[in-house]
Amino acid sequence: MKKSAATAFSALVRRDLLLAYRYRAEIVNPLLYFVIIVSLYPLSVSSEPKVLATIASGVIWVAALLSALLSLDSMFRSDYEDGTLEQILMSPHPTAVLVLAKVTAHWITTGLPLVVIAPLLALSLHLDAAAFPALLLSLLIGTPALSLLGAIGIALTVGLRRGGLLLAILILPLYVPILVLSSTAIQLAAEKVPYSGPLLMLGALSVLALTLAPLATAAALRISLR
Amino acid sequence: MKTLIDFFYMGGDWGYVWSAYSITAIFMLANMLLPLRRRRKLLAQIKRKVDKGKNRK
Amino acid sequence: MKIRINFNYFLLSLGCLLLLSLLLAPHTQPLQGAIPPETNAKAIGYQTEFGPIGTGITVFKRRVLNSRFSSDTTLLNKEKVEQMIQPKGTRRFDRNFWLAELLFIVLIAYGFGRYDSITGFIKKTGSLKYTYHLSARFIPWLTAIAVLLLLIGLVDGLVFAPIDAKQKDAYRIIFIHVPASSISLQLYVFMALMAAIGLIWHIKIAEILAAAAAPLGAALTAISLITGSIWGGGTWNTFWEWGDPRMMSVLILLFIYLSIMGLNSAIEDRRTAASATAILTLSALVIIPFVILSVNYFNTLHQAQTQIFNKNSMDPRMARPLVIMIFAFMFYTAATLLMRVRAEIIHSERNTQWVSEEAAGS
Repeated sequence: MKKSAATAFSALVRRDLLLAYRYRAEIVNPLLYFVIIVSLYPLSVSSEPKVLATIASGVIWVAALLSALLSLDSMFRSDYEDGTLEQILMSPHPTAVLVLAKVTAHWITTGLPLVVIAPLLALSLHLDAAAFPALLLSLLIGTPALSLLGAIGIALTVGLRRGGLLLAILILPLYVPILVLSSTAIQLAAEKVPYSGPLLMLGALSVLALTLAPLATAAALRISLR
Repeated sequence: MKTLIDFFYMGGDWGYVWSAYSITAIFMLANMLLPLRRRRKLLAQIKRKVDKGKNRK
Repeated sequence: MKIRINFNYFLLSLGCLLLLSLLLAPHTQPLQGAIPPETNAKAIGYQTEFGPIGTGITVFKRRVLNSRFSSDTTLLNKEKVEQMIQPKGTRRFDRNFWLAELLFIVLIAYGFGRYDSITGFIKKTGSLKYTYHLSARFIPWLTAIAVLLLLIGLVDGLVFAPIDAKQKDAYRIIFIHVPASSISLQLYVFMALMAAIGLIWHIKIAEILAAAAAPLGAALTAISLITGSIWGGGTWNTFWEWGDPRMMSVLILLFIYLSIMGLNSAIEDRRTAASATAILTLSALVIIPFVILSVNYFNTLHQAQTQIFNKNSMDPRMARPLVIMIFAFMFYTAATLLMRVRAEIIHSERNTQWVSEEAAGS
């Protein structure tokens, strides 16, 4: 019986979510990392509410970026080691769709919790109340792009023995526009100025990543596993 | 002579102008010499290997 | 490796992009209110910096953005806009500049092709041995022309060009800053093109060219960044400004070049490394215009791009050495690129008969 790509997509998402549910540490660890990074700033920079409010947007986004980077490794690593990745590449469905499924599952397990927990941390950093919608929107729009762009990097380095540091070097330059646009949006919102511009640009980047990154990731996986 | 000093003095901006130009010159020269050296080294390496092979025969 | 593209997926993504462009259409002035109005004028201004791609952007801006901006000219500083839109006569010069650059490419291609018919030329450049020997004949000429142009440009720029009214003599850094920045960007586009050709058709010489372009591009970007920062130290009174989008975008370009080099050296097998690097190059290519274009939307210390052929913007006596220097850098880049290619060819063909003969003869 031939099954459609959509079935394969949902099956793969369900499998990854189930795996993540069984190994809950993989969800909790990046989140914990995120919270710890954010809490380091008030301890080291200043505990003055005014100072914290000005740096809050940047701190939250930098922490989100780093925890995304940390969690990326789990996206393909275990599949690469137990051979599932080769099965995925050999399946009759387009690899890009399956890659998109893996990225979706990864975002649900690591990106979504960040979006949920970020407002609490922002509250503790005395972020202006007017900036909260911008913070939530930018995280909602931006974190999928983090996962999608990261997938390219992890696919390129999955076959290498010491890929960890290289991954950071490959991916962080690509993350910079996302970081700049979203923290600009939050700052504008805090100054009570229209902030739709940077958010729309961020959306453009996200959609671009959504459409092109799976193709690049699929090609990169084929090269890495050759 | 005075015009030459004037030229190098650059109206007081000599530090900026000449440091920028000299750094650029260093970068550009290095960029030309490094590939040349690399090619020569590779060729010498290959030559040594080939000679060794001949001696063995 | 064969890249399979599912066409349904492709159509879906095209549809998404179309939807997005409709969404973005009424919002082309993102930071409205947050920036002084005269900055908007920059979006209409002429760009002569980014090579062939730049011309495309300029045409796009004139056609699309101009018509959109014209509805709310009250926002713009009118004098500035009139200054930035070129008088009709200068367009001819601008076109001539691009014709000259095209001529440069044609000349080099003709020089290569002179030895053979075009079809034979394409077939033979596929052979690394042929390219190796042909480029040996070209490098002295390219170097000689580059040195000659450099000497003329330097003397013209440092001695004969007049002093700038505001920046005094410090502006003379422009004669190396602008060529280096311009060519570092053009080289990226060239590298991406070669990467795509290598990825799709597996042409070895394209892969080698892409690998050779990365360190050269990184060096040029570094030159652009360093000279720019020294120039900034002279005129803005600050060597480094984290808030400046122009500096940041060039810094990101440098990081991207370095990461490409890092990935290329991390993978042992040369062919695999070339394919992996090609994917990274193309992914980052999507980001780069975004980064560069975003400069127009943010408030920056960086001066508006100089319009070389607009007499209101630049004295012809300054423009002449600048153009000479741009061409000098082009010939220099071509020469050093070929030198790197020769070294790479020896490395990748080290187990073949002809390289052993070459080594024995040296």
